[in-house]
Amino acid sequence: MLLKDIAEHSAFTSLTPQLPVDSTAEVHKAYASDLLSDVIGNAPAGGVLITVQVHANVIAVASLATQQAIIFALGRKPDEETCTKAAEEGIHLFTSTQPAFESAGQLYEAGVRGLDA
Amino acid sequence: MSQKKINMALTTLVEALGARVFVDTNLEECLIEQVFAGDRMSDLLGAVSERMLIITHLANQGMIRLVELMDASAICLLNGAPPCEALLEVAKETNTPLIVSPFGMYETCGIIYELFQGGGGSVP
Amino acid sequence: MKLIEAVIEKENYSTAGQASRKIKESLVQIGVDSVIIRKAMVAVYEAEMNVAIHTNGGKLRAAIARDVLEVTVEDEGPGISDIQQAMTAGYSTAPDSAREMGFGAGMGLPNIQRNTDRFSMSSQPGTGTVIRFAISLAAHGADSLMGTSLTTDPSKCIHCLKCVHVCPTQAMRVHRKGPEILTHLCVDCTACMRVCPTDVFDFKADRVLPERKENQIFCLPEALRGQFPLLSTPETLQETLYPITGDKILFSHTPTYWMNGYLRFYQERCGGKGFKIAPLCPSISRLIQLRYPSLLPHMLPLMTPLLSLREKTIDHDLVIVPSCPAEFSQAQGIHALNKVHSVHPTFFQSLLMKRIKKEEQSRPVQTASFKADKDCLVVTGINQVCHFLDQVEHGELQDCGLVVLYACVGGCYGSPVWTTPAAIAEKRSRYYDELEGAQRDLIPLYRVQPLTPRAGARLDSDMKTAMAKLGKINEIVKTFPGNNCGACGSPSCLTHAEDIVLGRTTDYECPFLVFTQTPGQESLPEEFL
Repeated sequence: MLLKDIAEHSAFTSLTPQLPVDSTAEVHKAYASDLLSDVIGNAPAGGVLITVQVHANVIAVASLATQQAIIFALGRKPDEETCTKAAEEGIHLFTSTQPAFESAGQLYEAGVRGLDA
Repeated sequence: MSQKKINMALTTLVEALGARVFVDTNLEECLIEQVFAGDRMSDLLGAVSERMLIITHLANQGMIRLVELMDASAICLLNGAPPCEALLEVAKETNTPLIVSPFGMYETCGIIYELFQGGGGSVP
Repeated sequence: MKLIEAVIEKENYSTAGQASRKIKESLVQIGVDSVIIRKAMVAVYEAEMNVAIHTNGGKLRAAIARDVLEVTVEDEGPGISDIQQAMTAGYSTAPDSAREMGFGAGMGLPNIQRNTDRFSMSSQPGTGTVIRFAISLAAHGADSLMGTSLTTDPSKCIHCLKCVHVCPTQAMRVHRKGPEILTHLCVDCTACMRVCPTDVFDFKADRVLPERKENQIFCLPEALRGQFPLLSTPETLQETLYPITGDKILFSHTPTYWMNGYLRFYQERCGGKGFKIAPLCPSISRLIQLRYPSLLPHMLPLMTPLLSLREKTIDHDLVIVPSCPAEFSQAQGIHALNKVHSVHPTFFQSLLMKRIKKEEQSRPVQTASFKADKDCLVVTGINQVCHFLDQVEHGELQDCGLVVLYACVGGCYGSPVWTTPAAIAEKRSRYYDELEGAQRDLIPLYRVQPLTPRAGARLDSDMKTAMAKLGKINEIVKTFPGNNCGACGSPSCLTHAEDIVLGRTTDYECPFLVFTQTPGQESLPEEFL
């Protein structure tokens, strides 16, 4: 799956429009968790994080775990400052009104796998 | 929370995931219509409803209360980690089936989602 | 009924939740609907966790009063400096340890608010926070207001039939043995009480004071202060009252202050637009439920002043002096945690008058200037109110914004229990407020159970039987003269026919016909027509 497929998918709205989407960037891995220590420890590098945590720390954590993008579930959105910070770090942010289960399902269907698959 | 209105036997999910069953009371009869995945107590409290499978990393005191207070239909824990005794006990007391998926939250969701998309499997 | 009083310890995540569990057990035993139990559990558990995570520990108390679960959660600090921020979804000050437990999502307070029917919170930085919420346990929000508090003394009745004609809901019958109130139709408006020349009507409040207790608070009607000439200062008034009541007194409902509370709600939540009715007078709410159910959506979803006071009085034994039977009805079971006594206003007034010196009683009436509240339309007197509501129901007058309606002429100052004319009592009462100078903080509370229409006029619960009864009524009413004279003791020919069919009376004959149609004189001679 390409990052641009997520950006163009109707279920996801970009929160970092100022950050251009590399049309060739691929997404192979994804991770779903709302526990930040779990994300630091286990989220696969270069992946997409699905979470409801909008706390400012989430950007720092995603950056440490070298995530390409974060999808916020349940319509959650971090504040603007956090979005700007994410864009500076080069992390794409998306928000979706659907719960994490559905977002994970859609990515999984498109062939994006988790840890060791 | 989930829009999927499909009745799926919990046993079908257990098979597909290769999940370990820790509490099997009601397991055979349990039908799942909706799935909610998350690790925040407030979200879980708000989400719990009839015929809902809850997928979560949380296996702590908070989860014990959730099972006890909210009558969740079924719980799926993650990463093959066995739950503590207290949680098992409460699940047994409240007749809540408890399974542990060998996968992380993302794959567990993905596998179940694909099953649901495929039409829901066997419905007794 | 008290359910539980539990201590919540700071950062003890393993005991937090125990109070919720006990409350759940009780709710299950009572047989509360599982959906409502779930709502209650989200609220109680979030509240418990809040105390465990954010505070130095606290207390939770829960009780059930009139099908409503009432919960109070108090903590010992540190308090919240910006409540609005704390209420914002997603805002949290939880430590990372709590976050990793799955807490601290910043959804706790919003979750409590969303799952409760009434929610309030107050906080003092440095001291602590108090959260109170209530959940209706009746699945359909049934309003458990009883029929009526009015009592009758038939031995006093002189059969003048004034009450029969004045009753706005046709609830009054005067039989040979005296008056009867059809409780399912009565709205406690006191119209009958006001016109009765022989004091047949009353209500059963105590005519003794309850035993004096440390923890007691007196809730007195505003109008009481207007029943005697002005005393020089509010302090003199206190000196007069304290020997009777002790020093904890609450005047229940300075109407303008309450009006401001309702008005604020109207402006903030309704944008200050549209036709709305402020539920100040309990009798009016019941009148609308019975006679104007189509106007129920126009009622502000707030409680009456007396019921709104429950949070201010919840920690005390409450002695209420209700100013009318409708208030007396409301005072019953106002809260569950402590005792509630109702003392009859006439009796209480007599106690008070004994303490006021003769020379003070004879001082001339003083008038105090007062500012009328220009933004609320006030209609008083049950006849005027019915006239107004009739027109509103036909779609007229709906441009009149927020409306306050009172069953009594002159509002609560005009309750038939008082002897001083309403206008004078009101001026006197306001005099004390002016002297005190302080605007009291009166905030109406949310209604927990929505108002529902009262099925007052139904002939039978089975529709077929009701139709048959209606047919019979129509047959009988044809034999009556149709002048609605009331001589039979029923307000109209139609209601008399109804009474016969429903077995409310055994006096089948129409006194008017018996009187006018003597044998040989079947009709008037032609030259009179």
